Amino acid sequence: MALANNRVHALLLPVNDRFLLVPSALVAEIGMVHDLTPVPLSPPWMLGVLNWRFRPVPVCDLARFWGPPVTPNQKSRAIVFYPLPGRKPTEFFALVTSAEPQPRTIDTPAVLLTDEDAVHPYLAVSLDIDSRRAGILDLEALKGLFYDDAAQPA
Amino acid sequence: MTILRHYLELQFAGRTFLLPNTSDLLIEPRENMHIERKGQAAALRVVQGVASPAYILDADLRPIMESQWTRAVFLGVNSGRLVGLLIDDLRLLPADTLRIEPFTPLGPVPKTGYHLFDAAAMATSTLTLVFSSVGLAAYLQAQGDRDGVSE
Repeated sequence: MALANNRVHALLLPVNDRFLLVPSALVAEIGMVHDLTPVPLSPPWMLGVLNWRFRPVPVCDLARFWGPPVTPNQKSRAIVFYPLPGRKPTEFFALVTSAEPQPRTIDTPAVLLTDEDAVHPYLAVSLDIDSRRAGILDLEALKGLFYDDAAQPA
Repeated sequence: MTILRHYLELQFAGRTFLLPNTSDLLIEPRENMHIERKGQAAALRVVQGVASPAYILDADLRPIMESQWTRAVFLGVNSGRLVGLLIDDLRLLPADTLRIEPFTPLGPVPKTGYHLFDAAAMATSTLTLVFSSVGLAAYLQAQGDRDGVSE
């Protein structure tokens, strides 16, 4: 499957032995992973909450859905994403990486997508970039993971 | 709309959380409590023959039986269905000294249907989670409902 004729500015996120490719437009900021406040009763992929510009931003480790979890270290970064479509404007979230993200400009006609990795939860498709396989997040699936429809307003 | 003037800073299990200080709360010192285990409850408030359970929670908010608690914070005054949290220490913080921001916990909601937290108090680089009064009351009630000791 080929994408439309476009150049897309993206970030290649190292997540242990895998890469995620995300459009830069989804990312608000890249920061250090520090002073995470644990949230009781959270699932294991929720590492804690980061104080990002005086906003509480939950930090998630998606690596554990595909392999070993990320252990945050000096090289790790918190990739702060804008809220997912349909969510409140305050609902920023962050993904933790195992190393610094790398910027890429993708010439979309030149890349071929594969749904080979679609069996992995929360990945829609993948593509080969610089001889690396990079997964593209399934944002709808991510929204389903993050936000429980059964939650009642307090 | 009620203007919130204070938050309670609750300390237990080595952690600190905030709780909006509303008219739905009641604070009892340890000496007014009956130290009597009943199901998951570690102590009871008994007034006119009505016993209201109170729980000790660990850092993961699981009920435990022992701690250095000094006070009980009861929720549900207005509903008449009191349920308490036993805490080590307590401070009253003026709301206007805090920067409170909304927060949505990620992942499955507890069986009560309410998240435990709905905000955070932001400091320079750290933060303190703020309990949702409704979520905390429902969570504590559920501990009693589980073993049949709720009021």
